[in-house]
Amino acid sequence: MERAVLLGGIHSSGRMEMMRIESPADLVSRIMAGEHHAEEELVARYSRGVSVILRRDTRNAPIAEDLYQDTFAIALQKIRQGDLRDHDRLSGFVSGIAKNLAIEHFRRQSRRKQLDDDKVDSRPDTSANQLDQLLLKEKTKIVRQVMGELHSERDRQMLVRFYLAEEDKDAICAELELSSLHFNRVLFRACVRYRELYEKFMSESGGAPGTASFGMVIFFVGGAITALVGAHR
Amino acid sequence: MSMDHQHIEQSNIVERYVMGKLASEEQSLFEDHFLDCRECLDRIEMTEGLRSGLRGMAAEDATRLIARAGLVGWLARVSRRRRVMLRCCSSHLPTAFFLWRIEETRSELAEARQSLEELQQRRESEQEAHSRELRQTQQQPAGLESQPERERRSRAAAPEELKKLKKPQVASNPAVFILSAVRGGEPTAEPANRVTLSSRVIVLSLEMDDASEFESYRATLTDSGSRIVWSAANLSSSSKDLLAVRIRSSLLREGVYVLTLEGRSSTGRYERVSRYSFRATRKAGK
Repeated sequence: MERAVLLGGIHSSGRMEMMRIESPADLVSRIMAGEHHAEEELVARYSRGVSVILRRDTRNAPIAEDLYQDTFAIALQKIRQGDLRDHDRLSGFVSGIAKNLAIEHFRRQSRRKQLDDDKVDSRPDTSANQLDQLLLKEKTKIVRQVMGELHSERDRQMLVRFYLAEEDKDAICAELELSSLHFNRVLFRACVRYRELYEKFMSESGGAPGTASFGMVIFFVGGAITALVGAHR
Repeated sequence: MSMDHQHIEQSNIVERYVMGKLASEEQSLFEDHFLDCRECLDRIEMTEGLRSGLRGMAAEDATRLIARAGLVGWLARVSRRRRVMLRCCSSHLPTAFFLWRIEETRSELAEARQSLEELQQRRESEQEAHSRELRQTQQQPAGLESQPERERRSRAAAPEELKKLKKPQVASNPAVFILSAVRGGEPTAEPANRVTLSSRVIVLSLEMDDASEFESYRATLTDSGSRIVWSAANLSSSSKDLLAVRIRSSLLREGVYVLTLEGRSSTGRYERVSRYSFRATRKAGK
């Protein structure tokens, strides 16, 4: 908890909030100077973004978790070695490492598959675990409420056609006689309302069962990664 | 291209990113931006949650629809794996039939356009052949008069055929079949999968362990004599574990077929993913 306060305070829903007053270049300089806290700050600062990228590129939570660890381990090592020339490009540097790791992962998988071509398929089961199913059920309930609260059937159709049928926005607007502004407004309101209800669910349930709060996850993962990298110096 | 919040909002960058619809350059720029932007990260997470909740809602609605139709007893007899596949397949029938009709209409339009192009090409080659024969006829009038006559009739009929093709085709509902992959070794002589050639278009839903592994897929259908009867490339899947291919049933006869699915990796090479063996029949339950 003390360390959490030092890093910037606790968000009302229990998540840790980073005070982004430091420029990427300053953060890089501190890491290169050997400041341990700066490494943890790097992890905390880019953790969510790296998770989004890896989750999207791999579509496999266990693999995304492994690559998440590798991303920060490699990023910190390279920064310390001075491989980041333009310190202001820290975001692009970190996201580039994450994406390259995802690509390399699939290349390795392809090579492994070629060698095992005639063997019986024995890939691990990637089906959703119980926690994922529980969360999905809750999200579904929340979305039903959000849809029920929308002002018109037209707005409901708009969301279904855009997110599920993946139709073009202009086509939807033309057919449903919506302006682009109205379209964006409905999307935004639906997202905000979804978030309100989801955060309410999370706080009432004390976070999803079996998971630590977001902030503590960052804290522990950050510490683990920097310890790992430090051991390899 | 500037990635400021005004542009992100107006161009629905977040939504398009979550749905995988951004061009690669735009995607890179956005990823570089949101990595350090709490506001955009919040919006991404909200949009992902909203979208997955919508899918869950659609799947629930479809499941209820099937249950009401009295298929619960049948599902209880079907293996667990097939139940999961059916649920996944029905997850894109939210407002059940609605989405399928959109896709069906688009495909029919694409088919009509393709048929139109083929017919136009055939007309051009027939015209060429006719000109050649006309020249020969002028040299040898006897015995060839019926040929130009046939060509003229064919050309006269072409505009009518074109007109028919331009009209939207009356759709017959496509039949959907879920195929399980052949595991380990060669397909057996008598495949477990059955496909009934009862509608004009059949949809083969291919079970996969992870449909997102490759950028795109190529499917090749061969008959029992290993002759290729159909193939398609640049296939992709919007579902995690199913990939659907549409085939005109007129291409198939009764018999055993093997559909080979290959994935295209980021290096551009194709690798075999799975094979699906099925028996095509005219009558259901045969």
